[in-house]
Amino acid sequence: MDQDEKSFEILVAEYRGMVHAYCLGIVGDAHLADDLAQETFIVAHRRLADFRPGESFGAWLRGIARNLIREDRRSAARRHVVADSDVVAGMEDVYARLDDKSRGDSWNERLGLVRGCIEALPAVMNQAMALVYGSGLAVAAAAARAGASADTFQRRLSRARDKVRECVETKLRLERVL
Amino acid sequence: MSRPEPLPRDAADRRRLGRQLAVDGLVASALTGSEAGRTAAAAPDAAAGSMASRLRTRRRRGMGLFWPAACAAAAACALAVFWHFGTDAGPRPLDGDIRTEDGQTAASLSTGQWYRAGSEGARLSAPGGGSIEISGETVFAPLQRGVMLRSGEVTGRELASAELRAGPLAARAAAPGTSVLLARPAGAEPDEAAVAVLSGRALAGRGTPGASLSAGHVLACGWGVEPRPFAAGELRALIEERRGALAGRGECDRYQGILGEYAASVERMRRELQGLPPGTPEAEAMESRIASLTECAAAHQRRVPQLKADAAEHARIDRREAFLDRVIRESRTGQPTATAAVHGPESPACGVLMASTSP
Repeated sequence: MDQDEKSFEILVAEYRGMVHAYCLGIVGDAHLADDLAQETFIVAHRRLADFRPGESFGAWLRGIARNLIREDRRSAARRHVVADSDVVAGMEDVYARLDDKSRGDSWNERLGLVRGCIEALPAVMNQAMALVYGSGLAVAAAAARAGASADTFQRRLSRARDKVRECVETKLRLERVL
Repeated sequence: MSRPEPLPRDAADRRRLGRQLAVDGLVASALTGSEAGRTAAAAPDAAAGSMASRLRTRRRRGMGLFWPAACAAAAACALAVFWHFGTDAGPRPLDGDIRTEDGQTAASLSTGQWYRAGSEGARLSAPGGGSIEISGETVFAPLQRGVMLRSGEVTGRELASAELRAGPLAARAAAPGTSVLLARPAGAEPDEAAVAVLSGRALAGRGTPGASLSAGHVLACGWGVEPRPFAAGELRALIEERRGALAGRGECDRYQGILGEYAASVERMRRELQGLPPGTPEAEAMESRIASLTECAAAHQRRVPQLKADAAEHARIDRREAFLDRVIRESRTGQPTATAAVHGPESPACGVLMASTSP
């Protein structure tokens, strides 16, 4: 069990960024996501014996996180999101790709990859991302801060998200080729 | 976020929404970091370093009240006084031992005897701690042994202006035959007290008894609710709702257990490290694991104060609900169903002063 414990410690260090991001995407509240991520690892620690070697540890953790979100009263407004198999499958499309352990790098490095893509955005899109995701402003407030109409800002934000997704996917493909 | 947003009807759109949520989470997490992962996120990584200035310092939302006591329910007990406004009571002299306490004369009061506070009122203490001020001319009977008169006079009778006070609350009868339950936790904040009417009608209020309370209604101070009369059931539902925002009762203990496990693991790994030749890859790997584990433990440790505060809040809610349950029960019958001490297992020394004016 000692060896298992050590392995688990390493896995926690490696996956906590992923679990936090996953919970944050669903509940949209950084504090709550912090709590849920910690809860996820506590539950995972207790149920480590249930994990089957060879399966995706990341997917297993995300399953635990979804269950916690379903049970947590503070995330009641988003419960239906994790109960929908299509939404969950859509999230898995992205996360399973990032789970790929073939390069052996950590989730924090993968998040670094996302940061790199955000930095590479045109200035106005970078600002939109920073206002909404970095400062936590609502779209209307962020639009006002950026001096744009809400519609324009929403379109800008949507394009920025698409660009980041494309950028991350391209980088992952390039890494595989190289 | 308070209301569930409807999901798209089309399955492909829902799948697209899932992908969008995934990207949202990744972007937000990349820009702000998690509490636990912030150190790693701010590591000298080419991409992360340039964004470090955007990482915000988060502060956990506090509960406001934090009792730095043990994780188990805080030891606070209820000092309850029941009194009944009747018509008359025969004057009784003080009965029992005369003692000297703190340089002042004090007397122990006998149970089942009727007493009246002097014109300046009186302060009584229960054996387990806590005290109650009896306002001038109030007639009462202690129903528990060991009740002490700490100051003031206790001699007379007459009930016309009978009034009891606990903490900031004052109450008096507004109709014949009124029964009132007054509670104040021992060791509570100076502001905390509650008064409930079991039968009849009373006037109660903060400082001055200004609000009219009918049977089954409660006025509470220091409970974090509006300072107005509530039906006991309504107030119970209101305070029960607060549990939703609290961590589970056993969470604090569970976290402490996990922290113990972390500490034991770190200790074991440090011992192993001492047996490894310094500077070797094995030693460096072990040091890295120790650092990683220590960081995890610190992340858990940061949550403990909040969990302690939540545990203390659970205990406060338990105590208040016990009081309200009693009000609901006894205001139906108009009769007190219990004269035993109201205390939980966490406060075995808690005493309850039962006092009643003559029927």
